[in-house]
Amino acid sequence: MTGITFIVLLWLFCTCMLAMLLYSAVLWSVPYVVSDRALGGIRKRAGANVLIHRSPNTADNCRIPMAIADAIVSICVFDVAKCPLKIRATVPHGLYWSISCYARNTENFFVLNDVQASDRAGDELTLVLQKAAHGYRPGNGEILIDAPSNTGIVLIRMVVSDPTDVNVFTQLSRIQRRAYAETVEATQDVTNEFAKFRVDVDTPYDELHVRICHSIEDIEQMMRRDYKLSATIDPSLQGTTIELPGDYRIVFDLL
Amino acid sequence: MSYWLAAVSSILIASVVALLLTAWQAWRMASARHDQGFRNGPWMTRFSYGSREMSLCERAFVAIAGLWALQSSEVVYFTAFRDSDGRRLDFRNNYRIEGHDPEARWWVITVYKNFHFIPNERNRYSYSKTNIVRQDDDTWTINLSTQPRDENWIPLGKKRGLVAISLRLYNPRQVVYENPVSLALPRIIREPTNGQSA
Repeated sequence: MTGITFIVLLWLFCTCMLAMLLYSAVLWSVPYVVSDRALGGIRKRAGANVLIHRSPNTADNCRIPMAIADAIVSICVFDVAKCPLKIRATVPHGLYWSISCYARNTENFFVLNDVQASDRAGDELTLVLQKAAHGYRPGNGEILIDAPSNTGIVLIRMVVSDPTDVNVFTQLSRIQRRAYAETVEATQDVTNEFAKFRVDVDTPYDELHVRICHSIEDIEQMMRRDYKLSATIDPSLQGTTIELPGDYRIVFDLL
Repeated sequence: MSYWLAAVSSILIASVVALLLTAWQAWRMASARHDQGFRNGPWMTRFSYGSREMSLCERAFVAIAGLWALQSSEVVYFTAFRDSDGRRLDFRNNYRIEGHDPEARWWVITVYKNFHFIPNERNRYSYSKTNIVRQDDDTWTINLSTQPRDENWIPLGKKRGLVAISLRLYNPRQVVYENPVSLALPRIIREPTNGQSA
């Protein structure tokens, strides 16, 4: 083999290797790009570490490809970079229900269905998502999961026997809406900062659970923006229930 | 200088080749020509969906066409882009999906166009174990068409697009994992265009 032939072959080989490397890099990046885009959209609307409860998916309200139409889904974009996240949910009986966690690269790293959850935790499930470095010590009955990435998503799916039947959905949504998420830092570092609250908002609730995260001003603004309410939140109302005009009731609680 | 030229040309050509490969793969996925693992009549499935074991291609495909799929230990996803005679599904045809309850705790059949729900006034996109109307022998038939049908009807809509049927088996029985290729799955039958049953 002459020197030039060798060089040409070497060049061809390196070019092929580089092409495969670039192609692999593009394929590798696709799940991250798709996931970041989806998570970013949800995070922009609802924030991170907040569990939002969706109505059944329809052609009008669902942009996720090949979504399921026969389940109601609760979604939480998690961000456990700074502290663990605790998710509490009521486990229904007699129908398929599951809680699943996905890493940023869309890997389904954890799933627990209703049968498994009942065996492990009974009717009320508490899941704690953390990065291993947090070293959270789970309480009695809490299930501790190490997340492979700082961000990702938690989905709680509950099948609906007939998604076109509003009565069925209404009944199941009561169970669905008992689930919520809270950062562990909020529950473990409770000081006299009782002025810090956050309202989880989505479609109208019978109750709004208030959790510690932002300032009262943020709450007031959020309420005025989203629900056109005019309640004034007084810090001295901590621990009490306020009845508001309309369908809403706010419970203030330190968690 | 010649080394620089060689390096730059190598990078440029490699980039073009990578781009072409990516475009080809994207076209295969969009037109459902990619390899989807086990085949059972018109149904295809892989047990690696959602898991760490997915290949780069599988992971990219699932991210685009089935974001946040559950692991196969929980749900097995079968997908069909063709009828039982191997013809590509077309919204202009009428179809019957005939079968009995698959081996799973719960199942649902959903129809998509371009990987999304097909808009219709009834918001009907699927039928499941718990809402399908059965015949006396426990078998059932799902009708796919643009024109309304009396029972178990999923509208196909009037716009063009890639039609796909998804069969999800939740908590499937062991036989599904052992024999995915020979399992008894629903048949997808295209009706003659004059509307008479085959």
